[in-house]
Amino acid sequence: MAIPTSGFAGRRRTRDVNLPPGQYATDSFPVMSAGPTPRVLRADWTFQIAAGQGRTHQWTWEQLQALPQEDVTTDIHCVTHWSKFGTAWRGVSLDTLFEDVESGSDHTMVHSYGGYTTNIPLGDLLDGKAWLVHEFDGEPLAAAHGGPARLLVPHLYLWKSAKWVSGIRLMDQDLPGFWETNGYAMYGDPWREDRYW
Amino acid sequence: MDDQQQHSPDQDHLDGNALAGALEQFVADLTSADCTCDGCGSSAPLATALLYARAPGMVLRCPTCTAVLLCLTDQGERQVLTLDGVRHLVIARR
Amino acid sequence: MRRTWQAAEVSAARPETATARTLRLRFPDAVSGVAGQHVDLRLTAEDGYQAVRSYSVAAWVPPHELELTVEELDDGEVSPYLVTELSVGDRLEVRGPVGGWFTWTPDLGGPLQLIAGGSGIVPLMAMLRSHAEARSVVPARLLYSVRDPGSVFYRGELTVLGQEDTQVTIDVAYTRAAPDGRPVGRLTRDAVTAACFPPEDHPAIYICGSTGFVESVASWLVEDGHDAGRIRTERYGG
Repeated sequence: MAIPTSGFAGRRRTRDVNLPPGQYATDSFPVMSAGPTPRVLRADWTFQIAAGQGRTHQWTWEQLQALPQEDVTTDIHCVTHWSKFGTAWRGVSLDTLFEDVESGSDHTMVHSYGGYTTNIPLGDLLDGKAWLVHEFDGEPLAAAHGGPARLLVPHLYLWKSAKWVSGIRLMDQDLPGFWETNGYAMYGDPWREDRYW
Repeated sequence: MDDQQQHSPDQDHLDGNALAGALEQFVADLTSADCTCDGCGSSAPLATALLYARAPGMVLRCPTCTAVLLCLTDQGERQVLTLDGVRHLVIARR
Repeated sequence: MRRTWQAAEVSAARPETATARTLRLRFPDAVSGVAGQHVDLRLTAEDGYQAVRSYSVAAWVPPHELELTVEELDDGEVSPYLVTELSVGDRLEVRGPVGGWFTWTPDLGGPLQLIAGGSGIVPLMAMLRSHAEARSVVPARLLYSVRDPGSVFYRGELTVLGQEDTQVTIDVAYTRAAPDGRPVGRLTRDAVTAACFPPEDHPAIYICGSTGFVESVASWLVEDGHDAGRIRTERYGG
């Protein structure tokens, strides 16, 4: 059994109805990374949705900017126990990107520059629940936080909000991505504390 | 029954219990072990690989090609070790 | 090697610099290890919240004690507590000593080339202490890069070692401010080359510091013709 360390408090941890179980609130924005930070130029950047049977939809940076933009203010919850309230993002709703995508598949694999992957049910990307964001706090999204563009799926743990996102592939069955292969939950609902296998 | 027969064991093997002694040495310092990357085939001591620890788990990457060698995730009551990128580990006898 | 957490008591603490402190930990059982190893510390708050950090062992004090030197990091969660709050008599949970790669024992021979950036001196100091204790005749050199004169750890002991042990040479390089008459500036490849045993001596080289420091110095030494297989590195977070 662990013995308490006299006088050690660690990071300040608060109880708050807006905090999912096992989380603490932080004002900082910790940088989490499982590998080297990819450096992707906007001129080279593309985003693809692969709907299967060769049906691929692709956007360049300019094409993304030409789509309707939304401002999103939301709480985010990282599985490493920190939460950050009221983060402000700007980007394109996934509803907009999926508008012309036809598929009977219910599952998706999100892919990133650098090779990262994470699986998300298609239903969790639609109906105003997910965005492809490229600004944070009014500034272009820094590479450390996933720039040029990252996914934002704030109702799931933040590892699902893939940084440096490059595309989404539709799948007929639910397969695990990177963290889902390495001990973390397939779905990742912070309010049910769905952290691990 | 065919399926049963395909999987029916012969008499030539022991069971994993007998490996306990041989595996015991793995509790020694593993960071000195030479690790061969399954991606690029290069070898180096685990101690020289690239560790990304500010993440949901500890991700160790090949110092030559940066492919993931292993990942160690702490689930609180248990830990999960995946070794997908490790072709083999060579451990010097103590 | 201890594979489980055990409680150790802080038996002494002394400031090393304005932002670093050396802690002596006393264990219930005998503890021993080799120079370059580290221990994991686990701190537990009243509500059960835990934090684990690794610190290099600076000195072995047989049979029951060892010393760590901890530098306070600006946004650190654990190091400010260890440097400014923890008191003699408090208990910490410790795992280890652990690590078998970045280690040196006198029987490994040399010449021994040590290169430290900032608090990367800690495991290298353990090696110098091990060298001195064994009265090793292996020639040893330390190149120690610091911000300014006030950031030097173990200042008195290093001065004595450099003056009294004929096998040991110590060079301090200052990056931001230096004592009168000493150059100031970013550590250069030439300065590293000048302060190191030449490649033909086949030194065993240990480099410890921030990731950027270690990568720069190690690549310079390989370009100078040192055998990459003789270079061992340890990067610390920060």
